[in-house]
Amino acid sequence: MMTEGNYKYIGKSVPRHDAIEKATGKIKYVGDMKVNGMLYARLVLSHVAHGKIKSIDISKAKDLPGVVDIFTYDNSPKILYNAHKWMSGMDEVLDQYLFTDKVRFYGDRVAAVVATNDKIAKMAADLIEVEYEVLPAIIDPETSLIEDSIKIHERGNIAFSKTMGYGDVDKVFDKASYIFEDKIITPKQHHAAMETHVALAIPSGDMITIYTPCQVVFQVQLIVSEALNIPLSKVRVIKAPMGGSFGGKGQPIIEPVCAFLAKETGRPVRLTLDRTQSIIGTRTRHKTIGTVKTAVDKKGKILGRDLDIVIDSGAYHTNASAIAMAMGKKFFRMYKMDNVRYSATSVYTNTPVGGACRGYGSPQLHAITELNLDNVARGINMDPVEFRLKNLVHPFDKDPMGGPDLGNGQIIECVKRGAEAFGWKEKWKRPKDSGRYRKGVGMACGTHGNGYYGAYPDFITMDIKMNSNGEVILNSAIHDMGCGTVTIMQQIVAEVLDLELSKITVLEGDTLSSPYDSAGTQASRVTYVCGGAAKKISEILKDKFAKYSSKILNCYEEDIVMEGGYIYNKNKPDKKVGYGDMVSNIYHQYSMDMSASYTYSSPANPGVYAANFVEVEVDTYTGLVNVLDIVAVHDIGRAINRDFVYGQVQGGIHLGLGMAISENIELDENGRISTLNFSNYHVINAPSMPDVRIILIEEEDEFGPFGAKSVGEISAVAIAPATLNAINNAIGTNISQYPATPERIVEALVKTKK
Amino acid sequence: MQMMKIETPNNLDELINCLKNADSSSCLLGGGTDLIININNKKLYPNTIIDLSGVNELKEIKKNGSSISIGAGVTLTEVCENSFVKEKFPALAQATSQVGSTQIRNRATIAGNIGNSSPCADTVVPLMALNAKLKMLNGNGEYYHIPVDKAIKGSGKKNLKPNEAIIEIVIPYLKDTCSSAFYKIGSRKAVTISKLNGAVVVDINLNNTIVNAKVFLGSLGPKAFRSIMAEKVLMNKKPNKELLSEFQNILMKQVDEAIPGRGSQLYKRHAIKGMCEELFIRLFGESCIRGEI
Amino acid sequence: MEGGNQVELNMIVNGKKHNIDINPSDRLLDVLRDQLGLTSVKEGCGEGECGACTVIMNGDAVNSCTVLAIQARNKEIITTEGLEKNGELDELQKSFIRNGAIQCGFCTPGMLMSCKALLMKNPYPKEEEIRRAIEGNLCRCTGYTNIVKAVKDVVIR
Repeated sequence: MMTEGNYKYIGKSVPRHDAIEKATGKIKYVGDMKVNGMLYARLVLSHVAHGKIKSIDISKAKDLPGVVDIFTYDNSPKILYNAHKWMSGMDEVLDQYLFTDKVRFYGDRVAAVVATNDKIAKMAADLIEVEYEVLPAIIDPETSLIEDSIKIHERGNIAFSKTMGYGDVDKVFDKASYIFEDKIITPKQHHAAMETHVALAIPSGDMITIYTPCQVVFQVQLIVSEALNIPLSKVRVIKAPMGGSFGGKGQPIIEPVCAFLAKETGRPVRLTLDRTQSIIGTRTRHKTIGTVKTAVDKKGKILGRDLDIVIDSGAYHTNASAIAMAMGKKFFRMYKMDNVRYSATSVYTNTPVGGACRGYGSPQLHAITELNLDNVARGINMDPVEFRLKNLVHPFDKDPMGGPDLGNGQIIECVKRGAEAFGWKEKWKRPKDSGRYRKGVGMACGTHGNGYYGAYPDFITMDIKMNSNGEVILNSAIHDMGCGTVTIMQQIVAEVLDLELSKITVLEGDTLSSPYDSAGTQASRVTYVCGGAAKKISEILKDKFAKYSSKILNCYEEDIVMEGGYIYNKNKPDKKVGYGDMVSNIYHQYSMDMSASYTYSSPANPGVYAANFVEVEVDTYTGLVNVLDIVAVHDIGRAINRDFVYGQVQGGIHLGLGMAISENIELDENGRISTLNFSNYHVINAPSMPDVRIILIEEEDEFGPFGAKSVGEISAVAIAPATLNAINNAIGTNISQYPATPERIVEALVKTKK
Repeated sequence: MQMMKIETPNNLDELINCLKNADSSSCLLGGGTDLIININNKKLYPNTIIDLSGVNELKEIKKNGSSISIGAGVTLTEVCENSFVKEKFPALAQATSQVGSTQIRNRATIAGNIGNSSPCADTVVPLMALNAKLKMLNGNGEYYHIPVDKAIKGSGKKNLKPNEAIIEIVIPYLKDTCSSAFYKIGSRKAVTISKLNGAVVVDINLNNTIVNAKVFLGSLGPKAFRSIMAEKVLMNKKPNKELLSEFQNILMKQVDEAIPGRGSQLYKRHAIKGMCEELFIRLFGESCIRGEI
Repeated sequence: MEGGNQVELNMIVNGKKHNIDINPSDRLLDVLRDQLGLTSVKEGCGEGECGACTVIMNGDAVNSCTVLAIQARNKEIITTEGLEKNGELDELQKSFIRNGAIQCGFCTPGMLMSCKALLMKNPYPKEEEIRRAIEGNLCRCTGYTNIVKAVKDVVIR
């Protein structure tokens, strides 16, 4: 049931609201902000993976002219907090200090220097000498599962564990004739936003104002308040222009430190991390080790599935529990299966800390499960696409685990359309190359969510008002990550009120003036939930405007038309009044302003789906992979801004492709990191990035604004397994560790003696 | 702590003066694409930097009677885009065009690539194969030549004495019957440090037989080196599919001898087959690897 | 700190002559951002890999984080601020906006510089040449497609 979608603003590729500022270089990110009396701060991070700090000698650093102060564990609050907590009342494992006295990973926060200029701060940071009592380190998560004697935290090395499922998986495996098992490893990935982590804190009286490129202003406010033990009302957080995040700036990692430095020195402080510190000292995508077992009948129907996954939480808890749950929930929403079990164990290791990273577990989950499904298909001699089509969920299927309804899930359509556009049948049947260069094709499906409904409170309050010049201001705590959030909110408001975009101002998060939002930019909730709220509040305003205008125009409310900035009685179309003039009339006649406020609570959390098809050519000598073609098909519901959707898919593919062939934060057995900058942490560059052919399936969702569903995270979910499947198809291997680097590919080739 | 001084000589005479006063904590600055990063990463703490970018005599490519001189200040972009270099010394043009990114090549110099003494340095391999010499200048105003081979000491070791600087890279012309090629294998197609690099110079007679061959390999140990066993395989043979196969086998053996037991051995001995094929294609053409040319 | 050690630097930036005092160890990046307020030049990695600090120096795209400021003496530097002429955006900037080549915007100034430098030398580049010109400019948001498209769009017009 495809709605026609004759919209004036929805679906249009309007340029982003700040395009000119960005194209001229005039936009100021936090790193460009300067205020009077501002000091500069730099961090000192641990170069030991596990150790007790015996001493910190700051004398040489302190002697440097221009150094204002230096902070360590000795002179900072000793309040444990967990930066993952985004809402008061959430019960989390609290295990981090501003500065630690026991370092738990190469990159742990040891000290901060505040100085009159950035160069001095950097120099002073290098002069700080830390002596450690080095402790044995656990680097491998599987070791952490069994290791008792080395305690990274007092509570033990198991951070969280959960088993869930339905049916009787063990019985199925006892009886099934076709069982395929794989053990698959996914890497610790760096978000690689081009802007490194930075924050600016400005004290004023007992108030602290923090400018930060963040994803949840209320979360930053909450954690700063908790970590420094100051009232919420004394912390103001303003979302600043963001040079990319992808989840890496989702948790308030440096804001509490920055706020502390500003409070102590009584001056504005800007704290900047360099690239190395952003790689090692912030958050990473969780590394996972998944053992997946799938039983099928000979016709290719999935009889049962078991996934046992070890999640490397890194040195601190942060969202170790949440990510295990998030991954698990998605496991039940892709395929029709009668017997399923999911067991996850998150463990601590002495490695960089896991956090939120585009896809929040879904990329890892599918990297494991979709690779396994290709092996199943291969094992029963079935076309992988046919195999998927036989088992995928249908629109409006229910979640067998009792999660929110899947909604109008169009994954089957995605696979069919994608296979056709890609030319799957011909390419799959192609005879295998045997020379140096070998082509292969692979595909994978992915699912993700649309917010937190079903897991956490998911609501946002929005305020809207129209001025006497007919301009509208939408006030809410949204955060544009660079993906176009502000513009799509403008488009939604514009569509309801029939007003040009230039007359609509959409504010971003400021804890002082924004109405409350329960979760910020996470869980792919922004278009679906916040966009839904924007539509609702615009409709409320429209109704209110109609109510009062009808009194002034002396007609029925149903007769009121709002069109292109003019409001009028449809029976008297020659008597048009400009929106602003009408607002002014209402001020005078009714002492009423055209404003409204509404708390929108998400009514649903449908599945969002995508299928990726990849063609590669593998050089069997060098192991280098040339990605020839990618088709990405998205069950998007409705594209609010077509170009933005394409942009998100292209970016998500870039990140997932990196996970597939080149990105990995590498540690040695002592926990020392070798991928300290882009010279050896390779994100895909322009010569190696293929164009992506994108197909959108726009079958509206019932509750999304104008039918829209999310795209920002789902776009990064299926590409890695689709690529590995293509590589394995090309060279007849079963590479099961991401990334499939040239070395891994050559090793696999040598093993299979091709 | 860091009272770094910078000297900006405008010509060779002023440079001589700077070199005269230079000590072990002085650094020569060419394009800066290695040095500035090393200073920022605290791998180097020079007291004095001698900035060569103002010495105009270092910026020319000169065609001499029997050789070409590339000034130490000539950028890699300028080298790889020079039509004479492309025609007469394709190995060098190929190597310089594959270093780093466009921005890096616009600043980096061959002299810097040599001075930085990385075992993976891309320009070093073709320069050795092409019998290049470095024209040096020291603080006493003396000019002298050192073969590139002798100048390179091995990774981490400083190739230059504190009071000397590379002025020019001098490459003798090859006979008209000679051709050269370079190839590198990195972790990706572009902008990558070499995991393997190699340069070959061959002299082919009118009977399509290789009468002289030089094979140099890099990224296989602390210093780029000559593979005599590979040259022997090429000598007096006609380039064809079979010769390529022999060449691949001998170079696999060469890798085994160069880095036995190293973690990268498995990969490199396999990947070098790809390098061999590309070198053959660049030297002898695509049709050669399918049959005799 | 290095106060007594300052040196004089003359250079032309975005068409304007500058004579400033700098520290010997200052990078061109630092001088452009901190002393001349040209904050379009970004530090993304500090080691010449990400290209966010790219500026055009005497016609060449260079990473300003690897250029010692003193090496810019007597040279002509262009930054993104210098692309606009009399309030009118450069064709390349307009094309970036029109073609969705900007998302978070952090890589944008560096990308513009590399693309501008390319077009200054080669007004009709092929796709391969465009990708080579931006091989040293990393972008995490766009997958490069629209950036390449934006350059091609300028070439066509």
